[in-house]
Amino acid sequence: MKQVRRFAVLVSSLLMVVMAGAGTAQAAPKPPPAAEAVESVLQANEFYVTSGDAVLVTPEVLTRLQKSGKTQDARVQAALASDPPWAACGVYDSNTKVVYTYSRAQISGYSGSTAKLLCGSTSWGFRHIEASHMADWQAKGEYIGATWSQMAHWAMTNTLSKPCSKYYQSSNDTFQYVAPFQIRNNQGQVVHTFGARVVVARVTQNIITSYPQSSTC
Amino acid sequence: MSNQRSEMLIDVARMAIEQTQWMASTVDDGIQFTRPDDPAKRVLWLPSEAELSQLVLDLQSSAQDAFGAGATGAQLLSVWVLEALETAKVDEGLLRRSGSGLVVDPTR
Repeated sequence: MKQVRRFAVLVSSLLMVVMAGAGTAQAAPKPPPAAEAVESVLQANEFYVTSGDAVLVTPEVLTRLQKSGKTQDARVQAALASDPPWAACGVYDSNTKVVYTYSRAQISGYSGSTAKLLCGSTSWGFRHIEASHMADWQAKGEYIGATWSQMAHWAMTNTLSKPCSKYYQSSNDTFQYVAPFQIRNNQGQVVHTFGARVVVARVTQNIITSYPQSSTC
Repeated sequence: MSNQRSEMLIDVARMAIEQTQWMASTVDDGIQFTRPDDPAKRVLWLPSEAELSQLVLDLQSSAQDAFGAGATGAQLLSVWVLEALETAKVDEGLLRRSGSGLVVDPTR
């Protein structure tokens, strides 16, 4: 009986070790090349956003970085430096008005390397993203003081050009692009992660929607 | 549930979660979405036949503008379903229509 109990304790200890290992197995994504330089000019309560090698910071941080001369990396960009280069969608603008044309990574076996954000309607396109996902994008942008549109535009640009997952979904005739994003502090620690998804119609190349999501890749 | 409603629900659910980590299973009154990697997540979609038909009908012309001629409301609805699942603020909830999409409302 004692042996059985000892065996049970041994098995549960082993299980705990395995589970603890599994918990720590998910390593933080590799920081981009410019991370060290960015962190050196960040203050304790400041954050930056990364996706692959791309970095988004506040304009103040970019100014500090430029003054420090520590990096000339063009992939470090500032939020709030300017509004996204989007055409306006007024009440009387047609749903086919082009807001912005993004470059996108090609999907094997399918043609096309652009994705058009049109004004659309509250069901799809810019007007849908604005009506349904403004708060979702704003919540991510708040870490670095970016507006919802700056965060959405930067995330869409990076997701479409450097996705971790891109595929054709035959059931609804769309291309799906997903990329992971990390919000890091001045120690380089990842304080928040999220994914971004952009859905593009195959035939028209129109962006149907884009939103930050819980799944990364 | 009627065969037509059941088939449409299953079709849209399948379209929505293709190649994602979500799973869909039929329950008495509709569809249950779960995430095997995160068992706390459980979303029920229980539209009535009238609601579902109205949704697909409402989205028909938008779908053709967005996807091109010949597109169906169900295609656009499937995009809305995944959007709602992936942006849900709660683990357990009911999928419902909101003005410009679908949302997951908490069940408790």
